[in-house]
Amino acid sequence: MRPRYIAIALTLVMVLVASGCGFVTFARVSVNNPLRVGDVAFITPGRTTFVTVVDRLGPPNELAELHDGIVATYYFLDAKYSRVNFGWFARFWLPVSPDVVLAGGGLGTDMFQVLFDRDWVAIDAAFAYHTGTPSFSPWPFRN
Amino acid sequence: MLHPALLRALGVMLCLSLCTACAWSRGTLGDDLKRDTVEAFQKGVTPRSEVIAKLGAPDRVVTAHGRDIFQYYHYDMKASSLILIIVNFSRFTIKSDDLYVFFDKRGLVDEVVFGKRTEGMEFRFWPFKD
Repeated sequence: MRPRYIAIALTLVMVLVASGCGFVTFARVSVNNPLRVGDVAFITPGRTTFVTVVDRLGPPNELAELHDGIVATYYFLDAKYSRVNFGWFARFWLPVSPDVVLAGGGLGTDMFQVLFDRDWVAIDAAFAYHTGTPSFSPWPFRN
Repeated sequence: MLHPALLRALGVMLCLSLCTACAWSRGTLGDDLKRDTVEAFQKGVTPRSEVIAKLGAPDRVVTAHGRDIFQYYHYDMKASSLILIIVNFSRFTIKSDDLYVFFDKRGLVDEVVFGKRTEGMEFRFWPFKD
């Protein structure tokens, strides 16, 4: 993954973790629109051209040359974070406000790559890795 | 029974009394890529030097099948938070505009691929909707 992309993601995750001082916090970070299997189903190896892919998905975030073609990469991310601070209620009868925090979140990050031949016709397409869209769940002890 | 308008007003006042803060933030990475500038590039006519003069040095240069490709990108982030007494909602949205200018072997523009994902991007604080 590209350094600038990692930097953006990590910065925002840090912001999310540090944000919020209420009883319950819900936060979400989206980088570009997540691509789903149905969004890329139109790509037919050996037939779909680069122009068609760009028309449907927009320009890729990265192009890189291989020895026998070009690979176009689309990056996207969907992160969710939720947090419950049970110590928040203590502020009503204690001089200090202790934190008793349960928090959880997940990064649904993914790359979609399309491989083109020298004539800019798609010869393969795949999600690089798919962690799935996370859910809002502040319970950190789940498996 | 309260009048519906009065009920709505009371509802708004209740919401406002629970609202302790709101925040809107904005951040960008790279120069904004203007559609007018990109559309001025003519295939087979515009030289590499003119592209550089109008957009500056590219963020990346890729070579593919013996042709140079200049890549320019621009990131836009909009973040909003609604901070209530008990519950807080935050939403960060980041989108990128990417421009690729393909040059032929003579150094003239051969193809331009441009997309503005950031158009129509709104400030949102509700995190439960796509």
